[in-house]
Order: sequence, then C-alpha cells, then structure tokens
Amino acid sequence: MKLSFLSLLRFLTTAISIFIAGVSFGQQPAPDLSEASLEELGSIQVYSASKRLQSVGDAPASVTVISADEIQKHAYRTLADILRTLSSFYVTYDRIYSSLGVRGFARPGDFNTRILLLVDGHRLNDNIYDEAMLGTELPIDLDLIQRIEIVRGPVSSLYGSNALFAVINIMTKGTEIVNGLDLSTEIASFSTYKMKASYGRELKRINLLISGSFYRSRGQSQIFYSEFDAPETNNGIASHVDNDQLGTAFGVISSHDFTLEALYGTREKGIPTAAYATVFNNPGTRATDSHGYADLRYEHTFRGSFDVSARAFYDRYNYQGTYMYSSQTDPGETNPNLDFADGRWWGAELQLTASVLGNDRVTLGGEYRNNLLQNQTNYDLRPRSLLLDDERQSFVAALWMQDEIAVNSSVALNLGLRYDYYSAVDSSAAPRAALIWKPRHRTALKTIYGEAFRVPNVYEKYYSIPPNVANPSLRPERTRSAEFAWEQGISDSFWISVSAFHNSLKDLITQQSSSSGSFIFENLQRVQSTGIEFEVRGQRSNGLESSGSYSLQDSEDRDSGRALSNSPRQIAKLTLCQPLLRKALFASLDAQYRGRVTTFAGASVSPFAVVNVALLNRNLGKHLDISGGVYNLFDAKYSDPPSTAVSLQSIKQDGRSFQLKVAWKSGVR
Amino acid sequence: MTAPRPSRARRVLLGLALSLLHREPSRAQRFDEEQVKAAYVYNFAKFAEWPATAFTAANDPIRMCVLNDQPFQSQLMRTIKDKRIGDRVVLAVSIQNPEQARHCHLLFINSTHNVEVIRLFASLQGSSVLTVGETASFVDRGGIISFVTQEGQVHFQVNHKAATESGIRLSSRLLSVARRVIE
Repeated sequence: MKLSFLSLLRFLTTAISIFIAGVSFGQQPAPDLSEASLEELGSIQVYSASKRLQSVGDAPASVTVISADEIQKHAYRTLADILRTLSSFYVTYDRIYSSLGVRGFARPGDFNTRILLLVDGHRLNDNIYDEAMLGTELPIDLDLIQRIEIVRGPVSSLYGSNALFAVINIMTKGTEIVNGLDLSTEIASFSTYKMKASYGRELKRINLLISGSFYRSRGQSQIFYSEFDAPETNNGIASHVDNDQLGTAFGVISSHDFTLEALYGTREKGIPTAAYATVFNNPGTRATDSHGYADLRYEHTFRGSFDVSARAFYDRYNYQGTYMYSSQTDPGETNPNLDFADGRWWGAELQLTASVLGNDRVTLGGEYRNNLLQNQTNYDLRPRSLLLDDERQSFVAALWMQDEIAVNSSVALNLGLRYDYYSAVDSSAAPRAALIWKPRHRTALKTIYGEAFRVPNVYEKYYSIPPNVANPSLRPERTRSAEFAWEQGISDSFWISVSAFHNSLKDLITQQSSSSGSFIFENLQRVQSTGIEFEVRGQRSNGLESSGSYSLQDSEDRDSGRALSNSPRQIAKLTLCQPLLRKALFASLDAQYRGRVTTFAGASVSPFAVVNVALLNRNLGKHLDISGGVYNLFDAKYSDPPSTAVSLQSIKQDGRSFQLKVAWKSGVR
Repeated sequence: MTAPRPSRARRVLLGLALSLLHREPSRAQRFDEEQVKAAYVYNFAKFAEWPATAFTAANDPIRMCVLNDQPFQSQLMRTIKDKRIGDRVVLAVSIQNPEQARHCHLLFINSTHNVEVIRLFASLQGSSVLTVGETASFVDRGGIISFVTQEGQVHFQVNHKAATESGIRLSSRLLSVARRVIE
C-alpha cells in the first residue's frame, strides 16, 4: 500500500490539530516552594523553563539539543532514530549504514563525510572514509548519552574538515548520573535483543564509570527484492542475511581537571542487498567496522575567566568487508573478496579562552593530528590475488580563533576563522560570522555567514579496485552558506522560528561513472540549495510538550541544471510527549514526512509518513524503568533511495516493529 | 562532596550554545525551573549574613536584584511575597545595568549575561553582593553561588572564598548542601 497524498494530508491535518490543541498560551499558578528546604529543592524535578526556549535566540547558530530524558521517553534505538526527528534532517538506510541528509543535501554513498560527529568533543569520523557512523554502527551505547547537541550549517571555522552541514556532539553521562550499577535489557522485533551494564562510582577524588553492551539482531528473516526475482536468485528473497551485531565498551575516569575516556565498539552487519554486484542472498557478504580511542583531556578555568582546555588522543579504526562473488572459473563456486581498512591516528589540541576587551570572549586554539596509518588492502581468496595494498601517512595542523562580542545589550557578534595545513592535500581556511540582534523581549534576529571545506579522504583518492579508479589529484571541496533566522516568542511557552538559507557548493567530490563502466571521484559538481524552515515549539501547563517543523527547499545541480538527486523538497516533523501519571508514565509520539526523492539513477522514490509511539513507566518500585516502542505504527510501506553500491531501484525499509526495554538501577535518583 | 566532572563544552561556540538550549528535558513533576531557582534564591538569602555596613538600619529591606530578566524577577516577587528574613522585608528588584548592582544585597545573573560577568565582578569589588549565577563556570570566575542542573534537578555550587572576600558569611548548612564548595 502506498501512502496516498490524501492520507498524508489527513495525517498532517490531524497532527497539526493535535499539536495546536497541545499548545497553551497560559501560565500555571505557582505553587509555594519558598518554604521548601534546600534538600527538598534539590530533589525536585524541574521541566525546562521558558527562558530556555527564549535563549535559543542567543545561540550564534541553529542549535538543537536532545537530552537523555527525551531519548528514554521516545524509546529511540539509534542516533539515526534521533536525527530523523529534527527539522530538515532526513536519514536513509541502505541496510549497511545510515546516511544523513541535511537541508536538501545528501550524496549517495558518501558515508556522511559532510557531517562531523564528536563524542565529548573527540572527533569520531575516521581517517580513511571520514565516516560519521549514525546507526547501530555508532560505537557508543545510547544509554550513555547525556545529551546531543546538533549545530546546523558550516562550522569549519572551529572544527575544520567535514563540518559542512552539521556538527553532532554527543555528551556522555558522568558518574554523578550513573552512580552504582545500572542494568538493562531489550527485546525487539526481528529476533533482536540487547543487554547493557554500567557501573559508576564517586570515590574521594576520583570518579569512575565503566559500561559495556551487546546487541544482536537476526534482522528481517525474508526481504523480497523484485530486481532479483528469478529462480537462480532465490526468487528475489534475501533470506536471513540482514543480521546485525554490536558490542561496545566505554570507560571514563576523572579527577580534578583531568578526564581519561576510552571507547571501543565493533559492529558486524550482514548485507542483504547484493551490494557491489555480489552474489544475491549470500550470508558471507558482510561488513565489520570497529573504532576505539583513548582520550585524555584537561579543562580548567582560572579565576579571572581564563579557560584552558587541552586534549591528547589515540584512535584506531578498522574495517573488514567480505564480499562474495561468483567464481570466474567455476560459476558454481564463490570467490570471496576481502576489503580492509586500517586507520590509526593520534593528536593533540589546546584551546585558550579569555576576555580581551571586557565585553568579549576570545578563543584561540590549535590542533595537530597525525595519521600514522591510512591503509587500504583488498584481495581475492580463490585464487588468492592481491588487488590493492595502499599505505599512506599524513598529518594536519590547524589554528583557529573566535571572538564573541557583546556589542551592547541587544546586539552580539560572533567572528571565527580557522586555517588547516594538510601534508597530503591543499590547505584550507574557513571564516564564519554571526550577528544576533534582539530588538525586543522574545524576539531574536540572526544573520549567519560561513564557509566550510572538506578535504578528500584516502578512500576517494586511492581506492582503485576495478571498476574504481584512483584520483590522487583531488582537491578540497568548499561550501558557502548564508542563513537568516527569526525567533519569536508568542508567550514564554510558545515559540515560532523561521529560517531561510542558501548554500552553494563547488568542487564537490563526487563519484562519476564513465562510459567504460569505471568509477572515479572527481571535483566536479556545483550544487546550490535555497530553502526555508518553520518550527513551532510549545509547552502546555499540563506537561504536554510539542514541536513541529516544516521545511521546503530546492537544490540544483548547477552543471546539469536539474534538481539534485537524493534531495526531498519537503520535510515535516512532529514530536509530542505527554506525562500521564505524575512523575511516572509518559506517552510520546514522533512522526516524519519526507517528500518525493529522485535517486542518482533517475528513479523516483515515493513520499512517506512514518509515525512512532512510545510509552515509558519510570521509577517502578524506585529502581525500575520499563519502556515500550512501536515503530512505524501504521505499517507504512516505504523505501529509501539507494547508494551507488547497490543496483536496486530503492531500498525497502522495515514495517511495523516493536521494542520492550527494562532498565534497573541500584541507585535511586 | 566530590567535584563534578568538568564542563565538557569543547569550544566556546558550543559552550555558548549549550546554555541556550532548543529542546531541553521536560520533567515529570510540574515545577518550573525558575520557580525552583527563585525558591533557592530566597533560601540563599536566609542562610547568608551580610556585614553590618551593608544596611543602614536594623529593619532595612534585603534587596534581591535581578539583572535584565523580567520573567525571573516576577517569579522571585511571587516567591518572596509577604516574606521576611529576621526583621527585614525582602524585595525583588529589577535592574537594567550592572552599575545599579552596588545597592543590591543579592544579585541574580542569568546565563545570557555570561560574557559580561567578569566586568561585573570587577565593578562589585569591595561591595557585599551575593552573586548568583546559572552556569558551573560562574563560581570559577569569581561568582559566589551558581546553579547546576543535572538530570532535571537543580543543585548549586558555592565559592566560599569569594563570599568571604565580599564580607558575606554563609551558613555551614548551606555549604553542606552545596554540590561543590570552592574554599
């Protein structure tokens, strides 16, 4: 069943009426807290106040923050689940990795190279593919996340390469939150289970947290792909080849101003889509990604507001793909092809912040990253033959500065500039400026201009397994972006924001196919996007929280003059959360609509709307939280556009599914 | 009392953005963060002792000032309505610029003024103003008390040294409840 336009309209009308009903302009009467003791005050749960909604206006960028509380209430399963609820974001899943599109821009098969992912400020994009891992491949458990901050737009002026469309910074929980033992278990559709254990302890001078999790899903037992509907390919049924498993470990120890954090995650995914022209329905075709790091940081504020932060880190990233091809000598046999990436790097950074003029905050920072290994290897097993053995090393050194100036009580200016020197590619600079004007109470106007860049990675430059061709002369791609935003509070509990943006990319690193059937990455495309986003956020005195957004954008490939592929014109989002029993029960809903998308091959992928609901019962018997989620409640049949790796028209997504989670904690909050 | 983990904001841009949240936790029990903070502010005044020079008469009011934050000032006014501390009436006063702060006994500075606090503290040198801020770094920079919100609960930290230097005595009870005390 395809979702008709009428039923979409009906969905949107219902959603909007629920939303409007959910927003109240009134303020609740204030109960008397003034007689409460200090201890009692400290134990009261507060909800985000109107000031928080107001101060959105002060951020020198479009920022969204998702808290642990929201993650729990909405029963989100992955970071990708969270990102798809945000205004103008869309996530596609090719049954290997999740890809994020922002403001109309997502290239097929680009491994999220234009999104920067950080964990506690530590860069998680690897040094081979630059990939930001967002689905189950993310090497950190969602339960460990305290909050996620998402900044839209280019922020290369602070972060350098990859920060083109969004920066996602995951902040992990500290020992003040995980105190004692936390255990949780989940069961879900597609024979999925997960277990997690965490232990946190505050000793005299040392805080400690360790955590480990294991996730396993057999995946969809049968997926039908009409493109393979032939007797020799199991009549198009990919049977038991969608499995997924993930193990993670996390530890942090902190004392005074020092924090040592280590993380490791390894995830193995069966590939049901016959990607890279492998044999259809073969359980041997699979990919494993592992990433681990150790990160030591020091943060101190000296009296007189002089902030110092420093960090040193070591990362290791490994990928192993096994791809089953039919043997050329004997078609009945398979010939496994093994694809490896081995990345190791270390780095250090230092940042100083102080006030220079009295009404400003100046930040100076420097960073050095040394890529010890950026190796790619590929060979066939039968007969054994080495196809690629590429070893690389490189380094990057960068300097940045930023000044936040409070010009007067209603005008603030934010200026930033960063320069990156690369040993292996052209060096790049990125400036950024934001002006924030608050002419009235509850009104903020922002103008932001930024440039950003992405340097080509070693995969794009040197991966040369036929039909891929290397291109060592790739240059960095660049984007310029301008945004104008207007935030308006109608009351302290109801806010509207409108933002208009224009992005222009040039020298885009794009995979091109030639007439001879080979693939090569080239600095070719020029892309231009213009769009507008509307968002409303409200809070009602009975506790109902709601937010809704609609974005309309137009992206054009300037060389062909045609609309950009993988780019939906319209996106709409809705999230609701209603507390049902005081302090205990919460019902949540999130819904996403994505407009029609054209694939890179020119096919069309239908619009869809998906609704997810969740119920959370918190503090059952003081130690237990139970939550359940129903995903794709109305069992909408929908598909995502494919990446260049697969020969499918579109990639079918999961129908209705369930999850049940039980979490127990030894401490009582 | 253990030290909380240092703030994780890596860069100032985010650091600024953090306190300016779009979507923040909403919590079960229906209390506005501002209500709780206002109740705390009143409590801070109860557990503080100003030097005699801070008042001209025994029944002088305690002036609790709020810098450029009308909603909080209104909330504070509701909280302290008809309240007295000892013989003194308590007032919630709205001020527009830091220069007016010298006549305050307590000054609440919300997180949007983070950039200005250093200048503000300099202008308060030598006066006995109990400064109350909203971010963890506020006390590190010389503020006396700052709120920290963790898991939807509001706690506070105290810079005891700064209080003493301002001639303000804080009761041991206040110090014992604080999440962190800078001596």
